[in-house]
Amino acid sequence: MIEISNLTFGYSKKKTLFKNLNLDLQTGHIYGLLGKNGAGKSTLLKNLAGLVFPQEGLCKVNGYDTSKRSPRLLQELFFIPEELHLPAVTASRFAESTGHFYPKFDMNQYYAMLSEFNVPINSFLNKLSFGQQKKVMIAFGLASNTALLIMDEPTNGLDIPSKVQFRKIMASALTEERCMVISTHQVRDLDSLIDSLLVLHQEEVVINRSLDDIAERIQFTNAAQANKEGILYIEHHGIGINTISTNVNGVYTKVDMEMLFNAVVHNHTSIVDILK
Amino acid sequence: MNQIFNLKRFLMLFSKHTAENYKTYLMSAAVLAGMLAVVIGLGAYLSDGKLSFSIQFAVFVNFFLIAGCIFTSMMFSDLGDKKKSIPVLMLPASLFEKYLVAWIYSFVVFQLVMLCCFYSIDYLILNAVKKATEEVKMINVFSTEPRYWLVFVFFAVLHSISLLGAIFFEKMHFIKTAFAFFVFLGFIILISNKMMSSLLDVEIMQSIPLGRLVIKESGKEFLINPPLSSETIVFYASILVIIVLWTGTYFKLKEKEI
Repeated sequence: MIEISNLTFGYSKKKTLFKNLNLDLQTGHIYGLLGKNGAGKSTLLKNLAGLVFPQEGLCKVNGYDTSKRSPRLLQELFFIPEELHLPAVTASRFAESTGHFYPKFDMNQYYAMLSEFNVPINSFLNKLSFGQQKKVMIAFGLASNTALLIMDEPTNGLDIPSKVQFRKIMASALTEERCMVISTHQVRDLDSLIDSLLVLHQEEVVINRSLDDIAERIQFTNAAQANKEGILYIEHHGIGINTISTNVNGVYTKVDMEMLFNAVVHNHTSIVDILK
Repeated sequence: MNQIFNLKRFLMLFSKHTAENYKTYLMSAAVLAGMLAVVIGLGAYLSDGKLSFSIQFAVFVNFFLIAGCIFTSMMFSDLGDKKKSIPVLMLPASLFEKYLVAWIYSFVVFQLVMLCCFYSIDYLILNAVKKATEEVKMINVFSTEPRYWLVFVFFAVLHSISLLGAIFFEKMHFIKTAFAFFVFLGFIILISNKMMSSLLDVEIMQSIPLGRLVIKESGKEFLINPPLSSETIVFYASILVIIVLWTGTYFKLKEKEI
């Protein structure tokens, strides 16, 4: 579905954010994209959406070059940026004037999600709070039923109950024909939502694995339960020590994304090597 | 479905643009009409109701060109703002269709609105002053003698420059485009003077590119008018410039990144 080959990109030719980056993403998955501030998460998403053009390489969605921005590509791609601008129309008027650009847009689904998010449909969008605007865009993006849905920091601006609703709605909207890519720096917001993890670090996607794959290869335990010979990373906290170790005995543990992310950004290459 | 132009998709885009901007456009048209009423009314008052063709034409030309350039300069202002540009670029319509909507509003719709506003206000004021003074006729801005219609060609040239400026600059589109235009104009006049001076080896008093030339020799000034054919050349050159700049704007839109 998404095919990135030898992507090199930078806002100036001297300083590149990605060099020869390759990535292959499939439908039927919700990918969580993690990376440090400035690692290029938003820029990678913009490359995927065709909002910026690569210096070298290609970025394709369903076989179409995203930099061409052809209507047949755009009607299967919805991008929710971190910062929004919504026109001075109501949520219902917005759906009427914009929904028909997306062949699979479902008006009932849109209204159902707005209702679940408690967003008034007759208020002017530009007068809503940032969080409410975000909910409108999330509802619209999901109701558009595009093959690819890209979200950049979607939970920014959402309150705690809305984050719970967001996870619930997202999980229900995933189908086998759809691929969702969510970038965030709030790892906990992706808990129980994503099924695959992408970690962007030092100009490369160092991890691109499903959570099941990760759990099959490494385990997340406290020090007492860890595979002592295979400890890859140790993290001290108030009440003890948590570890990441190789999974040799086939015991599946819940992937602690925050810990895994910390290990990667602290250059524990052994973990990256195991997950390659 | 055609990826460059599809009528159904274009109409959807046109109606979306209209739905989201009609309030701003109506307010702008009301402001334009109000300012025309003030200026034409003032002209009628100062001329004791004798609004000559030259006064009417001067008001029309100034409003037409200045308002047209300001309005056109704002057509792509959303693309200068990262937040606003994403929904514009990501909307499933071709870039040609997006360009065409901006072109139709700034070129076709603006001229229609301008003509409607001008003639309505002009008609009302001329009728109001008619009783007090002898009848004054309304100007025909499409007249071929004198050639008032040329203002539409001049507008098209300025429109093409403003439209390119609208996509080229990210902020203060009108000011930056006007500044660039005047710098370019100054440069051309300077070059023209230098070229004429070196070609003719006389003192150049006045040199208008592709226009008349005033030289000074043996203490006497001579006026050299260009041949009639130069007007045709200027006309076709203007058409060429318009087409090149409109096309350039489209390709600049294709290159737009955020």
